[in-house]
Amino acid sequence: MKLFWKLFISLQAVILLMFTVFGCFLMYFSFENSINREKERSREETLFFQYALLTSMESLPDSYQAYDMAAAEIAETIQNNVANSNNIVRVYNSRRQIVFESEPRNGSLLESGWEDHSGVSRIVKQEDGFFIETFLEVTGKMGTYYLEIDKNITYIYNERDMLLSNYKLVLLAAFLASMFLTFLLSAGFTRSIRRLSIETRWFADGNYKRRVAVRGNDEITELMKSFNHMANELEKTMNELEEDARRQEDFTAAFAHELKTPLTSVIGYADMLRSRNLSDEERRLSADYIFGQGKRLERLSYKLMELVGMRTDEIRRQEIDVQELAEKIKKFTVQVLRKKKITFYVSVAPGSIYGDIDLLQSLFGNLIDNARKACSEGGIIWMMGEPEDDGYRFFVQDNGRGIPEEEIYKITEAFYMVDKSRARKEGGAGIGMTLCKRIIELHGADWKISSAEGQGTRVTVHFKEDGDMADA
Amino acid sequence: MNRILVVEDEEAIANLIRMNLVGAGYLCDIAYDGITGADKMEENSYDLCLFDIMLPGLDGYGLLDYAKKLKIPVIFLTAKGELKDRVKGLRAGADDYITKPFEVLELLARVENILRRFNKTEQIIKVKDLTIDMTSRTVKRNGVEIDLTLKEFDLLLLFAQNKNVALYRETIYERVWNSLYIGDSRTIDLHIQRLRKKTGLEHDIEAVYKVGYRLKAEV
Repeated sequence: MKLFWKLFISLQAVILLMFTVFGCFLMYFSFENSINREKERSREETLFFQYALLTSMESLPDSYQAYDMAAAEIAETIQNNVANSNNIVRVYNSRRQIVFESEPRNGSLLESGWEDHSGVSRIVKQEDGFFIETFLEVTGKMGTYYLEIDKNITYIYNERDMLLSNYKLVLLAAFLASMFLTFLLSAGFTRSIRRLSIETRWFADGNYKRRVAVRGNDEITELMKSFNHMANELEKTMNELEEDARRQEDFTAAFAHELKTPLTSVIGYADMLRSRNLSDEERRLSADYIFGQGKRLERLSYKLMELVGMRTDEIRRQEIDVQELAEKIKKFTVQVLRKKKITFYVSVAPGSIYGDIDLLQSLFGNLIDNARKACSEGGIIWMMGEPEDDGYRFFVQDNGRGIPEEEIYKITEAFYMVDKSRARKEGGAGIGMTLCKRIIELHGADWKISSAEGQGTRVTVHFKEDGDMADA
Repeated sequence: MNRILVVEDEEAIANLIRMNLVGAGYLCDIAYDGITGADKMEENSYDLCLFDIMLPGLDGYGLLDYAKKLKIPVIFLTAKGELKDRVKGLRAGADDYITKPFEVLELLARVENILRRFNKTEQIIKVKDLTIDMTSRTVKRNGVEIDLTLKEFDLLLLFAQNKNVALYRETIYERVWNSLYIGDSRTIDLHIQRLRKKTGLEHDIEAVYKVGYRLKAEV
């Protein structure tokens, strides 16, 4: 059963039950009250009648013999002049004969043996309604008489019946009104839940941008907030996954491109060599191309292996003296630089960093190699280092051609080359900066590349003092 | 003679294409970037253009717009071999699409095909005393028509279009029979024998040891 109906029906049942129970109690008490009131009045009236009858009878002269007649006359006088004339009065003599009767009625208390119960009253139902019958003994010098007063209380019963039928109408009206109200109420309560469930279904169907509009301040609002929070987190994770997948796809596509280009040349020239009669010059040229493109593939595979290897291996952390590191780097780069007549200035202030010596050599080797490629013959490359409050900072700077501003952010993407044909000539594979980025990430360091076209490029690498490494 | 423009930033590939196109009897110009390519299109009139897509300066799609204005047919030549890239290239208006790595024979066949489609190629090839008419698919020897089967004609055409090139058995099979070579050289040998006899090229179509056959001829 739906929550809406559960809520609706239970609310309705509670309201109906309360109305009925309270109404019944109320009517019962008011009825009882009326009955008791009438009983009391009936008793008082009977006592009054008894007193009046007794005093009148006592005051009769002693010689008076016709007591029964006198009793009848006195009773009639009292009934007509003094007492509540609505009551029915009967007076019996000691022989249980009716001596006075204000109006004829069936049934008599005396007949049913009530003479022992003087002062008792009871409620009886006659054909013409409900009566309180009160019975009293009147004893004096004139002997014993019995007095019975019947008080008509039918109106109480009528009132009760009327009240009950009216109350039924009221109850019906209340039921209809409460039905309407509880319907609205249940709908109100369940509306936010329904909205949430609709949104959840939308979300599940792939509309990851959907969110619930949060209103109010109850438990359901909390649930909505939680839902939105979950949706946000899920979307974030999904976006990250998509981004990862996209990057992976880009990498694969770029890699395939990098592989296919040299392969085309190798296959093409080899095919020419095997199926054509080429001149010596053509033959040499073809072989040259095959060799060159083969070398390019080799470089590509080495760099890739470095990149793949770094993804899985943990790095070895040790304290490294920066001046020793600079000396090592200088040693293995100096020859290449000399070939292009590039001046290499190294100025590194004493200090130490934490890291993997091989990876750091590869990092600076790549940075310097990039600088070399950017420089024309006779260019200058600087490598500088200075301690900082919170670590150590390196600069690698050149006065080469620089990187166009809009391309700086792209240079760490695998296989990206600012100037493709030049980069090829210099033996680049387009992975160097991707490698650098990875090494820097592994060392928990950060870097900044600033460049001005035609003036040169400066790469700043900042190592943190504590040497906290990324656990990536 | 047909003049072809090749725009390709990889020097090795550009030279490979040029050497093969020249070998097949075309005139060939090379540009290493998009801007130079566009300039060359303005300067000379070409019968066909081969464009790489990723080019410095102006990319292949940009060059394609130039070529379309000048009504020059275009073949894209690229490493982007994904279906969506090919569709994109063809949608943009390229007449054909070759993915790297490609085989030289395939390149030549496609070039030939496009040129023929645009009626820019000679419909007649002459080999010694034979005249091959590609439109009517007939071969005449000194004015007398020779009756050739479908496969024999395709075989002759393959040799005629690749003079002095040693054609490997698998290449012949793939080109003429359009299916994968599974080492059954009998079919090829049999057809070659009959072709030699019918056309009188007994000494010109020569067997190349361990390779296949070659049509020897002066270009």
